[in-house]
Formats: sequence, C-alpha cells, structure tokens
Amino acid sequence: MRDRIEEIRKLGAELVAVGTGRPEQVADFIENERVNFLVLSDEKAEAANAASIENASVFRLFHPNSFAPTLHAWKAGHRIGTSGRRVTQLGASFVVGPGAEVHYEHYDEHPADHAPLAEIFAALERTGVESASGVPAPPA
Amino acid sequence: MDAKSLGAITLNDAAGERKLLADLWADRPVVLVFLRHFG
Repeated sequence: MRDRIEEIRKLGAELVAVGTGRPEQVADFIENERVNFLVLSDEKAEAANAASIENASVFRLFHPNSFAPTLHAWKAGHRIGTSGRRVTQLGASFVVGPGAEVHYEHYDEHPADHAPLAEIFAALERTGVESASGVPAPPA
Repeated sequence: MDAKSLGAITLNDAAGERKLLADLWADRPVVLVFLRHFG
C-alpha cells in the first residue's frame, strides 16, 4: 500500500499504520523500511480491541488459502519483520473520516489476506474530499 | 467498527508522542491499517 501513498495523498487522505510492538520497534521499522507515513504503537492492544480485531487460531494462522500468497510474497522479496507483542493478531484496514464516519472496513481472514487496494481507493473516492490539487475526488 | 470508540484512544508514535486517533481523521480521510508485524 505504501507504494500508492502519493495517490492516497492526492485524494486528500493519509495513510496511518498501527503495529503491535513498542515505540522503539516502531522507530526501527520506520528507519529500516524507510516509511514515510505515521506508524503508531498499540502494544497494549487498546486500539485493536476497540476496533474488534481478532486473534487467530493456529488453524487460521496456517490457513491453506495463505500458502500461495505467502509464497508469492516471499518470491517477490518480502520478508516478515520483527513481530510485535501479539503474533496471533490478524490485520485489518479501514477508511475513516473526515469525522467519525467509517467508509470501509476489511478484517483479514488469515495472515496473507489483505484489503484489496481497489476497494480502498473506491472508498476514498466516496469520501468526497478534495484532493491536494484542489480537484474534487470523482463520484463513486 | 465504531470510529468514535476507536477515536477516543491515544497511542504512541515512534518518538513516544501521544496521538489521539480521532485527531488523525477529524479533517481528512485516513486509511488506517493494523499490521500483524513490523516490516
């Protein structure tokens, strides 16, 4: 998703990541991965609990549907980095705002499941926020 | 997901500065991604 961050910003939005590790791990992640967006530490799972993010059973962590995407990611050079405090916590993606309106939510079914980028961008366009260039986002 | 409940939470950034989540999306949309791991 971070490869598309400029497109996200052109739609007047921002990307924010929440991890399970300590702030020091966040700092290492930002430095090692050259991250150019906000990353927050949710080491006590306060945000994860508020967002109803699930912890996976062993069966979901090693779900057969995760095998092919994991292998594909591995071949593409992606590696799993430092794990945080909750290795069984699954991921999730939301499009929120302006205000408290939730435009999109995706709860990962297994570790290799991620929100389709097309769905995230469609949700961003539905927010109707003007882009940084002053051009309104197109209607859905 | 209830953004009002989630927005009431504050989290630390890499520098240890507290961020109220609701402030992040008060004036603009945010793509909020919960990671399983760092990197």
